[in-house]
Amino acid sequence: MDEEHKVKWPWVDALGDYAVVPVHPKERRTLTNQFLVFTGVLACIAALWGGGALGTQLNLTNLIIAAIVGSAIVSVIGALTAYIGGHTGTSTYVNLSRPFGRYGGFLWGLAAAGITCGLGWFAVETWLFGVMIHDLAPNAWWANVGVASIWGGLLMMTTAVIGYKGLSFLSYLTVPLFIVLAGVAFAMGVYQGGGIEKIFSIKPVNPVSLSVAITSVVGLYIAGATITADVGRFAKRPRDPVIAWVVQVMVIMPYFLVGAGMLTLGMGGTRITAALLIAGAGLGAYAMAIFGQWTTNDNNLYSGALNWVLLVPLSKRTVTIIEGVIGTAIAAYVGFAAGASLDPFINFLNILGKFVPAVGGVLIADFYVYRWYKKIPAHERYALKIGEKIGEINWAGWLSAIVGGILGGWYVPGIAALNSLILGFVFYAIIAILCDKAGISLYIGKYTVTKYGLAPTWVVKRYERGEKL
Amino acid sequence: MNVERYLHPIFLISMVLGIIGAIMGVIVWGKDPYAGFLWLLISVPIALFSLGGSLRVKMAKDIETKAGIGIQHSWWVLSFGFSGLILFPAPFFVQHGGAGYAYSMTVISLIWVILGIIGIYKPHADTGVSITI
Repeated sequence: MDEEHKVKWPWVDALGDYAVVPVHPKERRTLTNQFLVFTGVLACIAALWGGGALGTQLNLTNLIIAAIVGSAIVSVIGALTAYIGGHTGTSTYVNLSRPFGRYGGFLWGLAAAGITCGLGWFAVETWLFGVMIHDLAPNAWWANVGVASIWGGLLMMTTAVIGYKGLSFLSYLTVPLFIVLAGVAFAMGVYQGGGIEKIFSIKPVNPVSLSVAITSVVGLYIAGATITADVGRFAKRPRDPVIAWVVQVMVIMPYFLVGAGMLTLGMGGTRITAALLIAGAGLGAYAMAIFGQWTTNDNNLYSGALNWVLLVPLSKRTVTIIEGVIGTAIAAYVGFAAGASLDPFINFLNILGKFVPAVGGVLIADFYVYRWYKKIPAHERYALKIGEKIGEINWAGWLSAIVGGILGGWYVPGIAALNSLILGFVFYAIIAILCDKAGISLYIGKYTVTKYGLAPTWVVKRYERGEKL
Repeated sequence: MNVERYLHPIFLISMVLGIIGAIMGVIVWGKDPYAGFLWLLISVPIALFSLGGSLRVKMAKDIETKAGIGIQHSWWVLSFGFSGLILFPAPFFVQHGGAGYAYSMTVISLIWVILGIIGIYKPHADTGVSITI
């Protein structure tokens, strides 16, 4: 390491992949990298299937409105969290340790990324992969939902095990493929539907309100928007992940949703890959199923492992493999037991869309409102420093996220994901500022940041003994 | 070490093939716009990214920046070429665009993939710049 970087970067990355310390300046990537990795997360069957489902619920005009409004909400949330990651170079877990405390950051990070993305989403998307493959080749033994979930899950683990470089590599290769595939779906949909005018006049078979449709769009990507710092921390400039996120969500996401919606509007049915195969896309349908799930699910596993590694005394690589095997086993079980039922996916989306956003709301309120109120400059708000004291628990963050999530998700009418986020945001901003004025501390306990960042004690001890992590 | 020695020919060939693909796209569009769409969706970006890559490499000052730009733009050539390799032989495009046009584009896509791999690997091997810059 050269002298310049020794001075600028005094950290020891004991866990690897900068899980609990800021990313090394030499590892920072370009705007293109950020755009492709973010789009790799989005370029998934869930987005295309979501669009396909909307195509059966809305006419084309409302489909376009729902796609644009839902994407706009997600773009604002993700841009705000991406900016934090771009500034600090730290992961979601490290960032969450400010509004929730070190333990809180760990637990909420585990809930949002470790359990939700690393296990939940990974299992759901792997199962969905099995369903897609089964649709494409219903008579082949290797395309049985359970069997395809197993080989698909193992495939998806490979790039996650390599780490950020693995995710980047796959995204670089496949993102343009998805841009092309969504365009192909769009063209085939118009062709099958008999022209654009006829597509506009098609009535939905299962009509829903615009509000429900927007909730679905937001719910599709709200978890991703909350953890954008995991990618944004690798940016060379703080504005890069914001630009990359907004462009991909405001341009690519509506394009995917409308493209997929056009195909199902034109052909009927919600299974985008099957529709593509019937329309004559050949290998493109298989590529959509395989690479779509792969680019998304390796990100899920990667983000999950970044958080699980703090709890489990094993290397990140081993944790990724274990997490992947568990998620694959769940997917295979659902595949073998429930066949091609969509219910687990829909139930999971509903719960996710209601609760996780509150955590994002608290994070945004802490960084942009509370620390602005405390007159801390943006570049110093979450900047991790050796010797700095961080609260073990930030009770205001906990309270706001729990109450905001419950009220917003189950009691307040409207878009549940947005309600939770706004309530989490408002509760935290009010509680934190009022407590500050009243001289009441938000924090319980103190933790001193060392050169190992927020690494747990067992990691530091093993690292100092020279044991391989 | 001169990365421009091979990056410029790579981008020039890619761009020429992109222009040929776009011309074919206009012809196919005349027959069937739903099929011609794919020719344009792949050929035009490759032609533009190749042109942009060549110009940016020329303007860059140091070898590492040139290599990094070369790698970035070669990725676009590779990945759009990869899309073409998968989609042009598909039944819809063979039937609607014509077998001759579809299979010609499959071969051109294979050339783009090969050029892209060279454009990524060679600057990386010569300068040590990351392939996922």
